[in-house]
Order: sequence, then C-alpha cells, then structure tokens
Amino acid sequence: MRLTVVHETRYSYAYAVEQAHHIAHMRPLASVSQELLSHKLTIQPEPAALNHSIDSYGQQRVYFELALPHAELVVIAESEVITHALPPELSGKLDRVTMPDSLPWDAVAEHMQYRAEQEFDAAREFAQASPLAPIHPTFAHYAAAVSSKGETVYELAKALCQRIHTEFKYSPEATDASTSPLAAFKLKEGVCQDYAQVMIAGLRSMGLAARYVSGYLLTQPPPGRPRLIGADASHAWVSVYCPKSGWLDFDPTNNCLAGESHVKLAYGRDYGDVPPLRGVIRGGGEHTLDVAVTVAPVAPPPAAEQRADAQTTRAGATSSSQSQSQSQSQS
Amino acid sequence: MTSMTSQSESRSLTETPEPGTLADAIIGLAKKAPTGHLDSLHTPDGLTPEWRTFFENAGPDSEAAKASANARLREFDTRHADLNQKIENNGITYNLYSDAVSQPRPWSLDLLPMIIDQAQWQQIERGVTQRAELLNRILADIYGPQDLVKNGMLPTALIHGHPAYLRPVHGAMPRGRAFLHIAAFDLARGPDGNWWVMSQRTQAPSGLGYALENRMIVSRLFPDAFRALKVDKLADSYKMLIASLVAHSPAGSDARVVLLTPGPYNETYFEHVYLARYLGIALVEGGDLVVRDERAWLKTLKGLEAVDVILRRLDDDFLDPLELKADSALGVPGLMQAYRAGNVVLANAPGTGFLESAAILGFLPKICKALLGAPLAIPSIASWWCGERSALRTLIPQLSDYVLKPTFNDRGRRFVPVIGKSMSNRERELWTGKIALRPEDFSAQKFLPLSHTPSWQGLSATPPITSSAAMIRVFALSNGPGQWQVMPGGLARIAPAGRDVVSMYRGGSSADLWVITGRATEDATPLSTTLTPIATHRATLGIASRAAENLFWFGRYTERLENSTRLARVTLEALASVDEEAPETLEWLHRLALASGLINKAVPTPKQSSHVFERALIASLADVDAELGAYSVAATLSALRFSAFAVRERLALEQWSLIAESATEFAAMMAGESHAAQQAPVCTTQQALRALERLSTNVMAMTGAQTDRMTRDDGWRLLSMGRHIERLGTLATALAEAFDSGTLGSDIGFSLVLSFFDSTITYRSRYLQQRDPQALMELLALDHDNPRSLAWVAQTLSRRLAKLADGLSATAPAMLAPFVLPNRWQAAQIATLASADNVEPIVELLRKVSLDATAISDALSQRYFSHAHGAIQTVGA
Repeated sequence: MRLTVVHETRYSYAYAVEQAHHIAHMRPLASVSQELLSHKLTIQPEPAALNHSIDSYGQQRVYFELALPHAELVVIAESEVITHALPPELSGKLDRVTMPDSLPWDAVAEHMQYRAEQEFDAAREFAQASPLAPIHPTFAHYAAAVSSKGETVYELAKALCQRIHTEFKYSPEATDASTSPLAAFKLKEGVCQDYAQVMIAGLRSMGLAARYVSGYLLTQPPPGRPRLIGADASHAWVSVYCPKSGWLDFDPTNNCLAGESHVKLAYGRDYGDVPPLRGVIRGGGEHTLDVAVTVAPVAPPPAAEQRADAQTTRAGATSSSQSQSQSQSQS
Repeated sequence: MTSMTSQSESRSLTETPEPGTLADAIIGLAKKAPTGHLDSLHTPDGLTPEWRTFFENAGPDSEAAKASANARLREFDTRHADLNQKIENNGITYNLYSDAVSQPRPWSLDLLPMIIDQAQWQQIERGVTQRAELLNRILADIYGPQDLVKNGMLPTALIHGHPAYLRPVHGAMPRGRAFLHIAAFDLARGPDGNWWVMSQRTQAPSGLGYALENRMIVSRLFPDAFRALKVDKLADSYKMLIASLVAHSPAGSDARVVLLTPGPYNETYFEHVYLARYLGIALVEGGDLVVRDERAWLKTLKGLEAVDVILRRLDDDFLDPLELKADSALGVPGLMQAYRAGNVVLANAPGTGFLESAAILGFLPKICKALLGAPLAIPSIASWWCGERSALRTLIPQLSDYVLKPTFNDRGRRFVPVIGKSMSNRERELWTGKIALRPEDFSAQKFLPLSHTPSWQGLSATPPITSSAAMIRVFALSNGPGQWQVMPGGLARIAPAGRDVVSMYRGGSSADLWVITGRATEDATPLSTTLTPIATHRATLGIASRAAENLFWFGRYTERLENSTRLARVTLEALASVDEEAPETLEWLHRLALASGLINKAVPTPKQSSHVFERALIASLADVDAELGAYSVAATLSALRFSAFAVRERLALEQWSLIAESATEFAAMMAGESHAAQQAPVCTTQQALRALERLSTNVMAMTGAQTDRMTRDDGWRLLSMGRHIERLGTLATALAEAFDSGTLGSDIGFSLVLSFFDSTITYRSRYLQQRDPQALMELLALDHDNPRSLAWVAQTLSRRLAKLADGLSATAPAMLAPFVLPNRWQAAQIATLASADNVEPIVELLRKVSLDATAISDALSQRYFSHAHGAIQTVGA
C-alpha cells in the first residue's frame, strides 16, 4: 500500500530556550518489506548545525543544534512509502492466524547462547538485556506460563502477544516514555511502548531474541472491521527472531502481525535506542508538546478522495520538570 | 628469588653489615609474610638487596648515619609524623560518598615505598605495553567491523550485552585509531614471584594524581635511598602524556586541553585538582562546556573558547545527556556528536568500559595470538565467564579456589566480589543457585595469595613493621600509533593488616611505587617538593564562568569574614567599657550586629540587657550551621571554606589548608570549658576575644595570600571585586547607622567608628583629637588613599571592572553608571551634608551606597555568570 505520513512535533516553551541539541529518528526504513519513495524533514527555527549520520543499526539519525533563543520548535517529517500486505493467512487478529514454521523455542534459546567457535548470528544482540527491556525472573515466569516444551518460537510469541493484549489495559495516562517494563507490568496498563517492551522483556527472559520497532500505524478501518487502537501518534511493536525463518513482527497493542498498515521507522533494543525525537534544552521552563501524525493511503486517481481518508489526530501533553521530562505521545 | 640487579650490587651491599646496623634492627622489628604469600622484604638470610640498600641509605643525613640504629629508627617515627602532617596540610583526600566539604577522608599513605626491581619491571613493562596495544586494537575492531564477535572470539553478551558498549559511537574512529590514551592495570604477584594482571581500567582510570603526590611526599623523606636505588622518575611520563594528547588533536601544538571532572563530590576530586595543576591544564565541569557546530567550547568570561582535547575523569554514562544517560547533569549535550565528527579528542574515547569486565580476561589469550601474533607477555589471573556453559561446568566444583565477580557493572547486576574459600557451605549453595539462574552475570577469578610488602606502623606498635598484602596499579600511556610508555611507577595499594583484599574503598592504604628500570640517570633526584606545572604546552584558556563566579564569592566571603570578625571584637570590647551613658553607641553596635548577622532579631538589645546580648553574640559566633538564627563568624567561615573548595584548583595548597585550619582552630578556641561536671561548657568573653584575635591574624594571612600570591588574571579580578563590593556595602551601612544612631556625638562612639574602619591612627595623626563628622567623612568616605574609605573601595572596584575580560571592558563604565559610587562624590557637597544638623540626607545617601553594592553584585552576576547557570532538561517525543 502506498502511504504518506506527516509527523509534526511542536514544542512550545514557557520561556525562551537558550540552546538545544536534538536527535531525530524520523526517516522511514527502506527495506525489502518497505520502500521509501520520499522523505523530507523540516525544522523551525533553522538549526545552527545539522548532521545526518548512520546509527549502529544502519538507520539514519539526524543531529541538530539550535543556538539562538527560541520559544517554539517545530519538526515536520513528511514521507511516502510503499508497504507490503501480509499473505491472507497471516492477516487479522492473532486468534485466527496460524503461525508460519519456526524452530522450537528452547532450541532457539540454546542457539542464542555463546559457545566457542560458534557461527555468527547478528540477532544474538537482541537476546541481551537492555535498559528498557531487561531480563528478569518476573518476565521469565510470565512468558513461561504460556509456553510448552517443543512449542515453536513464533507460537510462543503469539501466545505471549495475546496474553499481553488481553491482560493489559490501554491507558495513555498510566505511564511515560521512561517507565520501565517492570513498572508497566505491575500496573498492567500503558501504551504501545509498554506493551512492546513487556513482550520483548518476556521473550529475552526466555533466552530469545526480540527487538523494538518504532513506526506508525494507519488506522483507517477497513470496511466492516473494527477500528484499531493507536491512531494517536507514533506506534511501536515487536520483532521476534527465529534462525532460518527470520524476523516476524507482532503488534501486542492490536493483537495482530504487523502488515501493510504498519510503517517502520527504526529498529532498536528498546525505545531508548530510537526515540523519534530526543533533545536536551537549556532554559525553556515548562513546555507543551503537540504531536500530530497523519497516515493516509495514496489512493489511485482520482486523488480528490485522499483528504477524506486521512486520519489526523492530535495528542497533547504538558510536562514540567528540571530533569527528566519526557512526554510520551505514542500508542 | 629476587634477582640481583646492577643497583643491588652497590657498595653498601658488598660490605658485610656490622652488627647493630639498621638493617639488622629492621629484621627484628618486621613481621614476616604468612606462609603461602611471597615476602618482598625478607630472604632466608636477611633482607632482600633492595630493602637492604633502602635501609642502609634511609638516614636523614650523614650525622644520623653514624648514630645508633635505635636513634635512626626513631627518625622513622618522626618522618611518619611528617608524612601525615604533609597529607593533612595539602588536604589530600579520598572521599567516600561523604560530604566532601566537611568530612573528606584523608588519603592514606604508607611511610615505606614498595620497591620493584629491574627484572620484575622488565616483565611488567613488556606485558603492559603489549596489553595496552591489544586493548586498543580490540576497541578498533569492536567500534568498527566487529570481526572478533563475528568469528566467535568474543561473546555478543560481553559486547552488545554490556551496558558500557556504546552504540552511539559505533563507527566513530578517533584520529590515529587512539581509543586509549591512558590504560591502567592492576597487577598482583603470586607466591612463585610472577606478576599477574588482576583487572584492567580503561574508561577514566584514577591514580595518576595520587601516584604523583605519593612520590612527592615519600621521595622527599628518603632522598638518599631514592638516589642509591636509582629509582626512575615520573615527570617525563606526564610530559609525554600531554604532548601525545596534543599531537592527537587536529589543532596540533595549539590544541587546548582541559580536564573534565564530575566535581568536588567525586571520590577522587583531589587528584583531579592535583593533576590539572601539574599538567598545567584547566579543570572544568560539564556545565563549563558547550557544544556548538559539533565542536566543544569552554564558556569563559570572554565568551566561548574552543576546546580540542578533553582528558576526562567522568565515566562514559555521564558524558552526554543527549545520547547516553539522559538524566546526567554532569555531562555536555552534543559531546558524542562532536566526538563522532572528529572535532574533539576524548581521552579515553567513550565506550571502552566493557574491557573492564573480569569476564573479558579469559578471552584475551586467543585474541592476543590472533591480533598480535604472540602470546600474552603477562598473563591474566585465571578468569572464567560463567555465560559459557562449558566453563561453568568446570568452575562450579572448584568454586572455593575462585573469587566471584560481577560481569556487568550496572545497578542490579553488580555486587561486591566474594571469595570462594571464605564461603560457608550454605553460602556456596546460594551462590551456585544464583549463578545457575543468570550465569552471564557472573565471572570467576582464581584466588591468588598476594605478595606482601612491609608497612610502617610506628615504633610503639606491635610489630612496628607489619607485612601487608599489596597490589600495584601501573599506567600505560599512549605515545602515538602503536607506541606505549609504561610510567615507571604508579600506585601501590595495601590491604589492611591481616586482610587479603586490596581496596581504597575498604580501608586500604597506599604506598609510593619505586621502580628500578636500570635507565635512571646518575643525577636522579626526587621530584621537586612543590607542585609546579610541567611547562609543555602553551595554549591557554580563559577562566571558566563557573570558576569566575566561585572566585567572586570566595572574595565576598573572605571580606565578610574579616568584617564580622572585626565587628565582633569591637562590640565585645565596647560592651565591657561602654556604660549606659552611651546608649547611641550601643544602638549603633546593635544595628550593625543585626545587619552583619552576628545576632538575630529576637535577641534583646544591649540597652535592654547587655549581658543577654553579649551571651547571644558569643553563642552565635561558634554556630557553624546558623542554628541560632544568626549568620555569624563560624557560619561565614564555613561558607568561605565551601567557596574555597569550589575553586581549590586555583588556590595554593597553603591557602586552602589555612582556611581549613582556621575553622578547626576557631571551633576549638570557642569550645569553652566545663566548670563543673554537670555544666555545659561556657565560652567566656575573654576566650571569645582571644579566638577572634587569633582568627583576625589568620584572616590577614588569607587576604595577604590573595593579594600577594595569586596571578592577576580575570579570576583574581573577580575575587577582588567580590571583596570590594562586600566592603563597600558593610562600610556604607556602618557609616549610615553611625550618623542615624547619633553615636558620632560621643567620644567613645566616634572612636569606635574609627576603630571599625581600622582608621584610628590615620585619623589621629591628621586631625589630632578633634571629633569632627566632616573630617570623619573626609577620611572614611572621600579619601582616595585610605583602603577603608568608601571612595577608595569604589574606585578600586571600578578599576578592576575596567580591566576585566579585555575587550569586553568597554561596558564597565556603562554598567556602573546607574549606581551611587563614592569615588564620584564632590567633597564640598559631602562636607555640607556631614556637618548639617539634619542627618537624614547623608544617612539616605549612605544607605543607597549599601543597596547599590548589592545591585552591582547582581549586575555582575547577570553580565558574567548567567551562562554558568540554567538547568538542562531532557525532552522527548
């Protein structure tokens, strides 16, 4: 599906910010499963310095500095991508989906462990604990409860994904971007980031490799289907690994596999590796953050219907603090 | 076992020691190392050649050499006392999470050095050089192609799973591929005499400053032994370090180098100060630096100045809140980008911390062969990472022979190392269970019985010389691509008596490390006893805004202390002599005591009760924490000490210790005595006066040091401005209240005012005994030569401001324009006001001067210090 994404982030500060440094991960991935047709990043005010570089996962990272006092910062990322649909048998709610073939999960966990002279597998990096998706007995226990011996890794992931989707309550107020998955787990509440990080922590605690996917979700409901939760802004889900079979993307927030409605921005170990926009400012006081994401299918001509299809939603948040003040604005 | 060296064949050894020599006496006093540990002092026949040479030459001078062994032994106690005094005077500390200002822990240093002979050093030097190169190559691979992981020589868990592996700098290749500039290695010597690498320190190794300080103290106490043993010198290594850092910067010889410290609360802050001073580089905190245009800059009074090399003592996590630990207030936002862009040399490069894991050591033998084509020249102590299942199976049955260490250093996974042989059966089961649950988190190292070195306890102790387990930390310093120099010396660390674990954190001590390389020249002399910067690079930086602000407050508190001390003396003396017939004078003293914070408002006035007022004033004098509601002398002294602490790197050590000693002395003198067992101690007026008098003398020494011993740079100008602003405010208030209270109407009041202005003699010589307010104003307000006249103070202030920050000084007159400044007063006008019957206009004018002094202080802060402020915050979307 051909999609346009407009991702607008607006900071309004109570006082002028004297200087700011930001890093953005807002360029959609160009990969086998997703083509990137165009991408444009607009920053207001004009940065004093700007640098594009490639992060350790081969993804684009944009660093910029604002050296003059400013009371507002607006960052607009406009992209156009082509996503690919899942085969029909993998589409829809997980309950009705049969998992593709994969290895038994305990064999995969064994594969993740170090032995001298073993063959290299880059996925092992994602079996390691990370700050926002740690390995912990609580998660091991939680994941083990839905697994059985000999079950495949994808089946285990599906069961875990369903369990989280069922037991967690979607709640934008319960957590913020720095909430640990253990805290979210205790609450059994949160947003897409929490769902994803709990699932990743569960898989890693079983010795498996899983990674965090930052992206967007098209929420236009297909005819006769229920509206998907998570239209608010950016989205996040989980990619699960099996040797030979490869990575398969699960969306625990929506209880499905990621398909043509999911636009991929970046992979990381957890949110901390790939926040869409992270900055350190001096001055500014309290601030208001507005994030607006519009994902719209580019319909075949006539183009006049495009606007009608677009879903534009806004999420607002105010935060005030001296140290850690991250305003989460994603599903 | 210790091999003979050219040094050990020196004259003193070939002679048969006479009975009753010092060496013999030492044998009788020194405890031997326990069985199983190598004893570096004793041989079956006596002392090792090095120690024999040491003691034969340990006499203080030729006279003492002839003295009896006993007399010479007593000399060791004298030197021991010398050493402790020196440590205290220099304020050498090692802070333990404590309140660094009020309770720094003194550095612990043994009187006797630890001696490494030439044969041992050759092994160490070769091994450490090779290992530094090996670690640097590993870093170049891990932050580049990662072949070591791809070919299975290093587990992913120990790289990608280690929190110290920093993704933001993957792909960044520093100039000359120099990741490491300083690598430290902790070495231990086993029972067979071989040295082993116990651990590696790569992030921001500590010890280079303490090693220097130890050397400066201990070599001075044993200059003859130092020469006789031909101990190698350290200075060249430090010079080379700076030269090499500069050479790695694109700016070349113009490179500006700073030392980045986490600040005064860091446990090794003392050595940051010490090292910066010795290397002749600026000591900065994260808040002093800013990244612009992907470059690092220092915020100075003159604006931003480029920084090319950052020798950092801040751990990786804290370097950059933008890309590393988000809530770090110690770091510099954007620093990782400046590093990636190649615009700043970070020594060491960020991301080396994973090499510090004990788990890595076990993988080095194979990697060394692969990367350097040779086996490790100095082995690591046998180390196993439990994450490798085959290693785990081998380890568990022999856990008793190992020490368990954490693989990772993050909270939640780190723990204090546990010695297997001291575990109970139950503990062993517990640990085995923990390991089975998360084997990756555990590493094990073979337990090594450490070699022992002698440690001087004092003649009255039993035994006077103990035998203590020791480890050494040595430093490899980069000297261009593939080139390393191992500093011939380092830090010897000594376990407490009877313990087998060496740690400065847990009550250990240190010793100077004397290395015999065989390369020391004939004229090898101990390091100079004063700390003079090694002049190796010329590019200097302006004073950082934060340091400037601290100096300004240092000046203000110095002056405030001087004024409070004088006022307290004048007041206590006056209370004894002023009778109730001088109520105006009592009123004046009361108002000044209130304005200066000597007492609080609740205290009765001296008119109401002279006795209660006096007791309250004395009680407040010693009240360090202002618990009595007044901010008096001891509290000011404490504030002064705090501000001095913040600018310690710019003060001579004597200046710092004078402040610390004055505080201690004042507290002791004010402590008072209990007259009966049940009574609380009372400080009499006489005691208080004596304490104040002593303090005045000390304050004079402090201000003298500020005037005579500091370079007249912008930092000093701000210090001086701080003093003059404070003085202007205090004196203007004193004069205003003198007119307003009517105290000038009495002889005694008039002379007290002169006394407070320290101007009695000048006044008497000019105006004889006349009591004339107009003459008083001439001397105390208008005189341009009297350093306690308002005009002189205001004029000095204006001059300092005009010279501040060169080009920016054009703004100085404009900055002061709105304020009432006595140096601009017309003599005639003031004379009229001073002699008028209505004092209101002159009181108002003088009060305005006092208020304006505060306003000038605020204006200065805004103009020069504002960009030292401003909390940073992290934002995310």
